[in-house]
Amino acid sequence: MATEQNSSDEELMERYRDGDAGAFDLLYGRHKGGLFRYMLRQCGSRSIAEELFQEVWMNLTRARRTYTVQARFTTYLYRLAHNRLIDHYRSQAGGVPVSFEDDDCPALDSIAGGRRDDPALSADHRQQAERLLQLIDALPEAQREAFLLQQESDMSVEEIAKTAGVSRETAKSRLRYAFAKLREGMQEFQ
Amino acid sequence: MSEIFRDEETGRDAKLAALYRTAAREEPPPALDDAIRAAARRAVASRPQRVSTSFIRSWRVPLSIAAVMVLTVSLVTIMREEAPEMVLSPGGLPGEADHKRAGPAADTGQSATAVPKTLLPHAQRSDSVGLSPPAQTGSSGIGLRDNRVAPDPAAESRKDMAAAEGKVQSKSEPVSADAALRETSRARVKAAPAVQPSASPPAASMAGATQPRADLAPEKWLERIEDLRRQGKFDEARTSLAEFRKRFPDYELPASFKEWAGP
Repeated sequence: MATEQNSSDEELMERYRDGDAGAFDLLYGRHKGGLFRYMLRQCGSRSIAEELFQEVWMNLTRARRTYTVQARFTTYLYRLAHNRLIDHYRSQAGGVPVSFEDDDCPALDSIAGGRRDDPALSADHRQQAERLLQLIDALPEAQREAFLLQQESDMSVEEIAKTAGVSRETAKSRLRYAFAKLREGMQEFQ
Repeated sequence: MSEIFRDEETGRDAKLAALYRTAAREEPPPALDDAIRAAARRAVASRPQRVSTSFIRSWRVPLSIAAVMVLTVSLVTIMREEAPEMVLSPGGLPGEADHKRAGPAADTGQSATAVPKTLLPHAQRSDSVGLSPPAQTGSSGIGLRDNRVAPDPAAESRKDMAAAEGKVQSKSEPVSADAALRETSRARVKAAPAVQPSASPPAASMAGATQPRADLAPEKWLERIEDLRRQGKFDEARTSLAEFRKRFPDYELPASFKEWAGP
């Protein structure tokens, strides 16, 4: 079991491809939280996020036979998620958000209303966390995606670019703008 | 947010990142976890079936070839046992068998002594190559051995006629083995729609043994007769020519035929 825990994502995915269902359980356990939060923040609705989240994993199980290690597993997984998300945007009235097409980032607009309450956090810390999540929600989708990919799966700029299907410069720009806006929004706590 | 550690390239803020990790703790509902894990297990569990499918697919061609070979060997073995001369003789061509079959049937005017000489090989050969019409073989489930009796109705009718003349009994003794075989299958032959009783002997032979020759052009027929002569089968050639003359009385024979067949 210890060796299973130490196995890389790519090894686990290869084992699942070869018929090891236990490897999938490990993979799922490692990435379910990050992927779910990515979906939740990107589509803004818990029910839709759950649906899209499930579809991404189902797409992964269907595509397992053709899986070969060409990049980090997280890049592969979040690429599936990104594509599914774009399909979801297309099915909506508003279509794909402009921020996914523009390399230039718009100014920070309004900020969404209050959110959850986590007893594990101190009052001040909780306030900061709520504010941060509000600011994240308010980010343009493309910048938010870049931020979430980095935070939830620890991707490099290159991996973010590959996942989002953009150039490295674009990915880097999105990240910089995202952090700049978040810092700006959090200045009241400094 | 007093301490801010920034990545110069991306502007990454370590403090913001740490704050995000403590704030973002949403997880998918357990029911969804279970559903996804179960679906993943099912997807893997369906794998052996695909493996067996590919196993069948990969063995389909070799198995088909093996089956064809077994059938071929079986048929050749049966043919060797049933009609060895057909397998070994170079003269066992379908067209030749046609002539052999037509010969005695058309020669009903001759004495019954011609019957044992031509009937036996003819019956074996023509049946072995499957020239006999299926309608004469009785039920559809009858195999090779049953086909053997197909041309027999003509011979049988002729034999019956000869028997009425009191000649067949002694002359047909050399074919007793084949006659015994015919006796065993006679019941089936009688059950089949054999030669019309009202047909004349030549007509009966045409309806039975020489049915394939109905479409044969006179020139082609004469060529076959010449082939018979070249093979030294003069009796059969004469018999076939006699039938030819009955069928085409106005056809002028080539000079080469007149030399041996007369005017």
